[in-house]
Amino acid sequence: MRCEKCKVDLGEEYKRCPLCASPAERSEPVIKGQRTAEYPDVVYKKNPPWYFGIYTAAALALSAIAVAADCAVNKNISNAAWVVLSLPCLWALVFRPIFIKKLYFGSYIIRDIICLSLIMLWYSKSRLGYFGPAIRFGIPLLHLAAALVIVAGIFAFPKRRVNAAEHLMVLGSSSFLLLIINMANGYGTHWCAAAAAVCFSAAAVLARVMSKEICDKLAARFNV
Amino acid sequence: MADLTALRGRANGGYVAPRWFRLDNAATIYPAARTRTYACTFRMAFVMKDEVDADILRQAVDDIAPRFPSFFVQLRPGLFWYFLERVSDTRAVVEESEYPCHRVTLVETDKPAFRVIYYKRRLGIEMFHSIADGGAALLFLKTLVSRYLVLKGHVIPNSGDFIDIGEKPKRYEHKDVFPKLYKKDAPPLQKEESSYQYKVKTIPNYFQAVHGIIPVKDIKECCKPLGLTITEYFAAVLLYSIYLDNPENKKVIKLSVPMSLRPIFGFKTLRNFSLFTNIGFTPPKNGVSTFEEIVESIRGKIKEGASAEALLAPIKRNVGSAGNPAVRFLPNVIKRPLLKTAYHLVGQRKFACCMSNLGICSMPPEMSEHIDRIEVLLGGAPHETLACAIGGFGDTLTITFTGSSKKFDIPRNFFTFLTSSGIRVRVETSNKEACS
Ligand SMILES: [Zn+2]
Repeated sequence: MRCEKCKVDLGEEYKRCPLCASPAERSEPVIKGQRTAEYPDVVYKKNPPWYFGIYTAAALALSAIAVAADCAVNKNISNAAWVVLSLPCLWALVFRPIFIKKLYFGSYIIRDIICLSLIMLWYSKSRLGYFGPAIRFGIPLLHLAAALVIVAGIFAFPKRRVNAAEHLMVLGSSSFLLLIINMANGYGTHWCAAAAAVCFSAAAVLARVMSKEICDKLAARFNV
Repeated sequence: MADLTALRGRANGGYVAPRWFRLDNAATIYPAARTRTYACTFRMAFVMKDEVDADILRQAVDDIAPRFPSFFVQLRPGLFWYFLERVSDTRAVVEESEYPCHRVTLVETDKPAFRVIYYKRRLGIEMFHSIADGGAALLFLKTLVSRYLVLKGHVIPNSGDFIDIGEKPKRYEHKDVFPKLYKKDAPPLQKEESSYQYKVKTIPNYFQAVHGIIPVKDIKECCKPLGLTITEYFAAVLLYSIYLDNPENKKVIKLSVPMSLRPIFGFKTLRNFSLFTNIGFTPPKNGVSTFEEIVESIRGKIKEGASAEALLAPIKRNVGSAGNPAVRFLPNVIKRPLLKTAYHLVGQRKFACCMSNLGICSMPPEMSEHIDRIEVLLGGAPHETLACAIGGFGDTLTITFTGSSKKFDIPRNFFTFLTSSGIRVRVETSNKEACS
């Protein structure tokens, strides 16, 4: 086919010229030996809704309502702060994993711990009067549970062992930090010690089995 | 297949490619520049004579994977920079089902950051730009096609046009050579005026390609009397087409012309090793421009920009700024949005359209007899509503305009100018609506 207006050859099955939209004419192409390289039919997909944006807007609106209500009724914002804090945690723990696929399990656990730790710290301070219960008991237990889940994952997903080692090191380090904080405040240290021990010993076993891989990964993560 | 095991064994012996690669200097911008609508991918494809056999293609990809460790990588975040980590999953072959240059899944996947696409007679790759540039990707594609044809039972001798998969990966193939070219005493980069922007309504998530298939002979006949190279000739026609679209504009119209630095500096890296030179012309304040005026204003400019001396200035700037401790040690979470903003506010305003010419692709006749033509597609950039890429194969050049709008204005100006100059053109498009 050809377009006599643009003076160009067209694909054999073209009904119109894409350049000028004139009807294609059945005449001999001037360039011989070419055949149309077909494209597949593609269904146009609109942008998926921007979940994070929608959620943020809703969360901000809810927070504003909570703060206003709390101010009006209780003359302070301690209850509203609960709502404000819980909304990002709710996103990270519940909504993000639903909407965003292909999320890595280990990274998900680390994010969960950060959120849950914040909730625990807040609860500890506002309801029990000091951070002690969270630092001594709640957060270390969370670390311990996460470490055990990751250790179980080592057996279930052998391919992701290097990532597991990374996550265990992160958890181990923060357990160790908690241990120091607890010691400095004179709180009990056994739960932190247990969490740090589990993390570091599992990481050490992994490092022994695959030290080269783990060193490479750390070198890559910290490359400057 | 015994011979394959031998191939794999040999390919992995000696120099062992690392498990991860630093992003090369030119690649650092792409992870930051990527947006929901700008995928930073490009496509390179051959249109074969026969329909592509998917099973054989998958086998061919598996066979060449050990020879190309720097391609089978996925982007990962580091504390300071992103890096490329090798992946073992080589299942990169997919039947084409999306618009060209569709996003490649990054970071949270164990698949490589490129895909091998096939559809009927088309066999190509779509690659995230951080992995490699067009020159390296073409070498990869040629090697893939040669292996595919060998598996189909053809005898393909290697005349040095593609990579021997029996060889080991070479250290120099994985090197970022930009830092080697850094010269402290190179002249500073001149401040550049921003260009006129070709504005057209774009459609999110949409992408189309318009191919113009042109005999090389016709082009050469047109270039000769003007004393221009093929790239210069096309650059002049493209500038003229953009000018004709809005003759009222008096602002400088600039094209960004990427060029491979391999022939200039003699390195054979398979990473990114190209830079851009911007060329353009300013329409006169009064009256209209003619094609001849544009020809005169760009004559010799690409060659000037492609000289080793001229390239040292941008290399100094790029390598110097990446090596600046304040940038190097800035955590990635902060660096990324800063780079993104800088790229979208400044970098993209310097040109109206990008025009890349890959040149004529060489290969042994035993291989070329199975191929009709080559297609090179640029993914385009957010402010750039149009991109143009040229690839040649045998006696045919294919010029492809890509963009996320359904308009054909510039391609129409471009191709009708060519036909009015006596050049034969065949037009094909991925936009099925526009031709049915
Ligand atoms: Zn037409």
